Amino acid sequence: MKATILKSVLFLALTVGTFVGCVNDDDYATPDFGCNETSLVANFEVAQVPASQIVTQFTEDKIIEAYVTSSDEGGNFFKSISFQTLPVEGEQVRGFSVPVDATSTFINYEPGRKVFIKLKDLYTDLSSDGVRIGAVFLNGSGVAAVGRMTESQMRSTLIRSCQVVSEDTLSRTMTIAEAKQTANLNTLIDIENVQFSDAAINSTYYDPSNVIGGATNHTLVDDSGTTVIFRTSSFANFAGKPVASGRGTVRGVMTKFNSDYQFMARTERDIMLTEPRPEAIFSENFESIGATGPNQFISLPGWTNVSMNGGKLWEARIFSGNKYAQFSTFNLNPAEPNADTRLITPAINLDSSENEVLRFGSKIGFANGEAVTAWISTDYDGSGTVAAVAAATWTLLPATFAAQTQQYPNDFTSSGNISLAAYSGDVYISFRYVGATNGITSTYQIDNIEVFGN
Amino acid sequence: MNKKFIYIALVLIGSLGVVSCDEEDDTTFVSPNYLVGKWNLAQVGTLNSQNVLVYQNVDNSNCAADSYTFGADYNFTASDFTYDGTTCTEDAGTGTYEIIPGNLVLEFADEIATDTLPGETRTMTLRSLSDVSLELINSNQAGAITFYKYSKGL
Repeated sequence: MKATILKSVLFLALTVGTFVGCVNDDDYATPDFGCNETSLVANFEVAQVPASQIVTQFTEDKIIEAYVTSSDEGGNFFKSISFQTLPVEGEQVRGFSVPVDATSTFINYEPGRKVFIKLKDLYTDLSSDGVRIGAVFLNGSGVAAVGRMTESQMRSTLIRSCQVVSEDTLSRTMTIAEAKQTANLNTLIDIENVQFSDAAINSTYYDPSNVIGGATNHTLVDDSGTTVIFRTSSFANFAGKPVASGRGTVRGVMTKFNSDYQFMARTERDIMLTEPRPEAIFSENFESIGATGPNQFISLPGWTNVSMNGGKLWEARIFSGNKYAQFSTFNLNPAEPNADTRLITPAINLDSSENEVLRFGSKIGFANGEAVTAWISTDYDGSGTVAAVAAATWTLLPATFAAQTQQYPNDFTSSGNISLAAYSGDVYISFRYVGATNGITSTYQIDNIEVFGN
Repeated sequence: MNKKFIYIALVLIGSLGVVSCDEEDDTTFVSPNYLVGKWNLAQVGTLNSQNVLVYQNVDNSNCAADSYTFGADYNFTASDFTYDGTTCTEDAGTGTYEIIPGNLVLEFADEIATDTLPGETRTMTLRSLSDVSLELINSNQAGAITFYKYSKGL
C-alpha cells in the first residue's frame, strides 16, 4: 500500500515537473534569421584582378564582388569555391576559384550568393589557365602556388552579402564546343542535348576501375559528337549511383586540368537527363578488340579491312585506355608508293528508320597532307575482297576531319552529322586512306562510328 | 524497504553532484605568444620562373643581423644594418604589432631610413611560426613576393 502511494506521488511529481518545466515564455515564433547586409561596396572589377603563372600578392585595398557557382553540398567540390560575375549582355563573364581550408562551405556560400572578396594581401595565380585567389602554399619541393586560406581568413576575406540570385540567372546555355573555353572556367554552364557516352552507361558516376586522381572521368557527348570530360570524385554523394542513360541537360561548373576541360556537376540534381536516349542503328567504338599495336590489323565480324594495292591494313591501336582504328603509310617496309587502304563497315540497314545521320571522330598526327576520305556504297557485297570493293560504286561523303596537326590533339574531332537520308536498304561506309610511303604519310585515327535515325 | 529509500536518496544525492550548478566555467585560456623575443634574419627567398622558392643565406659576417624584437606588450623594435665597407650603421624603428588571421601587421611609430614612414602599416603574411623559427612573406608594389626566414636570437 505504502509503495503504491509512493509510486503515484513520484509519477505525479515527474509528470507535473515535465509539463511545468522552467520555460519563462511561450514565444514559439520562428527565430529571426534576418541577414545583416554588409556595408562593403565593390571598387574593383574581377577582370582587373592580375593573375599570372607566377604567384603574386595583391597589395591594394580593393574589393570585388562575385557570385558563387560551385557547391560542396554533394561532395564533388572539396575545399574550393568557384565564383563568377553576373552575366550581362555584351560583357565577358569572368570566373575564378578560391581554395579554402573549410568544408560544408555551401551553408554560407551557396550557389547564387553574392560575395564580396577583400583582395588586400591575398595571393593570385593561374592554374591550368584558371584564375585562383587565396593564400600562398609551398609544396614539398618548394614550389609555390595559391593554396587554401584558413577558415578564419575565409571569414574575414569572403564577406557574404544578403543577395542571392537564382542559378538560372547565373547559368549560361552553351554547346560543348562553346563551353570548352578558358573564359568559361569556374562559371556555371548548362549544356543541352547531351548524353553520356556508351562506355559510361552501365557504370557508376565514380567507377573504382576507372580512376584518375581520386575521381572518374566519364564522357558527355552532344548532338554533333563533340565530347567533354564529366568528372566525379569518389567523395561525391552520388558517386555510387548508376550513370543516367537518358539525354537532356547537364548543369555544372567548367574546370580545367592541364589541357583537359573537365565539367563538374555539384549534385545529382545537376544531371537532368530525362529524355529517352536515341538508339544508334549502328555503332562501333573498337573496344571489343583484344590485340592492339603495330600490325594488329582490325578484323571484326562483317568488316572489310583491305589494301587495294599493298600489304599494310588498318591497325587497332590503344591510347589512354581507348581503342580506335589507325593507319599511316609512314616507314612501311616494303614501301607502298600508291597506298589505297579501306576500312569498311558491315552492312547497315536503313529501311526501318528515316533521316539517318552518320558521325565519327578523327585525330591526325605527324600530318603532311590529307589522306582519308569517307565513302558510302549501296551495291558492295560485303565479301571483303579487292575485286568486290573495286566493283562497287562508292560516293564521297561530306565529312569533317581533324586539323592537320603534328601532335595528336586530346580529343577526337567530330565529323559532324552527315545525312544519310537519301539512302535506304543496306549501306556500307568506307574509310579510305590514299597516300604513299614517300608521299603523304599522315597518321589517321578513327573512332566512334555511329549511325542514328528516327 | 528502508534500504530502498537509502538507495534512492543516494542516487539523488549522487546525481546532484553530477548536475550541480557551478557557474565558474570561464577558465581563462591564454594562448602563448610565440612571437615574443628577438628574431634575426637568416635567409631571404624569391620565386624563380617556375614558381620554385629559392632561399639564400643572408651575409651577417660584417654586421649584426637585421632583426625584429617583439615584446609581450605588442610593441616591437625593427633593426636594419647597413655596411659601407668599414662601419656598420644601425637604423632602428619602433611601433606596435598585431596578429590577424594569417598576417602579421606592423604599425611603425617612427621611420626606418627610407623604408618606412611614421604611422605606416606593413602587413606581412605569417607563413610559419614556431619557438625557434619565423617565416614571413612580403611583397612589393607590383605584387612580387619575397620570403624572409628568421631564427630566434638572444
